[in-house]
Amino acid sequence: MSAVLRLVADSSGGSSVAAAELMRPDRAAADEDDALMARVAEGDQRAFARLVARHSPRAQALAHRFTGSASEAEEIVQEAFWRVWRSAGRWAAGGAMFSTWLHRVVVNLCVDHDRRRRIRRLLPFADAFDPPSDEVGAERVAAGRDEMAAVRADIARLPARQRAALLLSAEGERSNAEIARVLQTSEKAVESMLVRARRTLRDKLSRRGEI
Amino acid sequence: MSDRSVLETFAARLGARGADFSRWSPEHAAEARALLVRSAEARALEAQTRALDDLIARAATADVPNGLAFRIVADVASRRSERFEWLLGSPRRFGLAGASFGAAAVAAGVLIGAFATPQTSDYASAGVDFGPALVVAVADEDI
Repeated sequence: MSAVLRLVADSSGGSSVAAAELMRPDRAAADEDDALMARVAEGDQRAFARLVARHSPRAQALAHRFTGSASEAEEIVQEAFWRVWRSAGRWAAGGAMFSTWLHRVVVNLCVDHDRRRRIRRLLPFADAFDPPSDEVGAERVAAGRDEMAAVRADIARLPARQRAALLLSAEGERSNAEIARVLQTSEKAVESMLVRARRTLRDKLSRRGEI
Repeated sequence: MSDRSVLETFAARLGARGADFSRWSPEHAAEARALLVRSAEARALEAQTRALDDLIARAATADVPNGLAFRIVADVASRRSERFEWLLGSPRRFGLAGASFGAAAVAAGVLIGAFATPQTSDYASAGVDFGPALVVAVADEDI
């Protein structure tokens, strides 16, 4: 395993790990992912490490912006890749793209996490269970001293599915049809989520005079 | 189609797909570009949406923690190892549980047997209703 860990450590040393190469959501990249999954199904740890290196940065960014916490995002992404490892034997090459499936798993874990967090907030001593977000506090946001933090806080308050659709769309490389496949819904539904999410954000920014 | 409804359609498409026309169908993108040439209101809408898109795109970025991929692979290795150890320990675990369950089952069987076993081998007197069928079956075998 150590060789595999070294391989991954080498490829994850810089945070901009050939991002363009890693993130191409085209068929060629999908075929490479299928080939890697076939090797993972045979227990090839190097192939698994390669998949992790290719897809974990984007999955982490999505989960981070969804949850507002880098550490919670990492737990979600670890769980998602554990599922990749366990499901490799059942992977059907040529069907759904690996990146679509992985992001579906990540989004579902994020939505579950969001639900549990909302339930926890109803419990007494909720703060003891909920780790603090690594975003800036509400006071600072209210003061308008950090526009980006304010926008992130606005995004974090969107309903879970709207938030997921908006964050997937913000990556810029996915069509609404692709986002619909990740969210397992129709393209019309995605468009409706995006319209509502953008309207909410625009209203909030407009009230603060930021747009 | 009136200018107002054209603008409303344009605004709806901006909301659904953003201001990046590469995300629009070629036909809708061509209509939008033509509208932008002749309508100041459309240009204002497009500029506002573009500013919002830029803001959202910047807000959606996140630094990737150093060593993320390393930790993910290590986590999976650790989980696999835990599962393997759990399976290795299974015979012992199941052996103890099995022995306990077996002993309990035998004890229960002895107790039930002591109270429920018919005192006679005569099926009719024991009141067991499958007795006659069993007798017939045995008789058939003999034939």
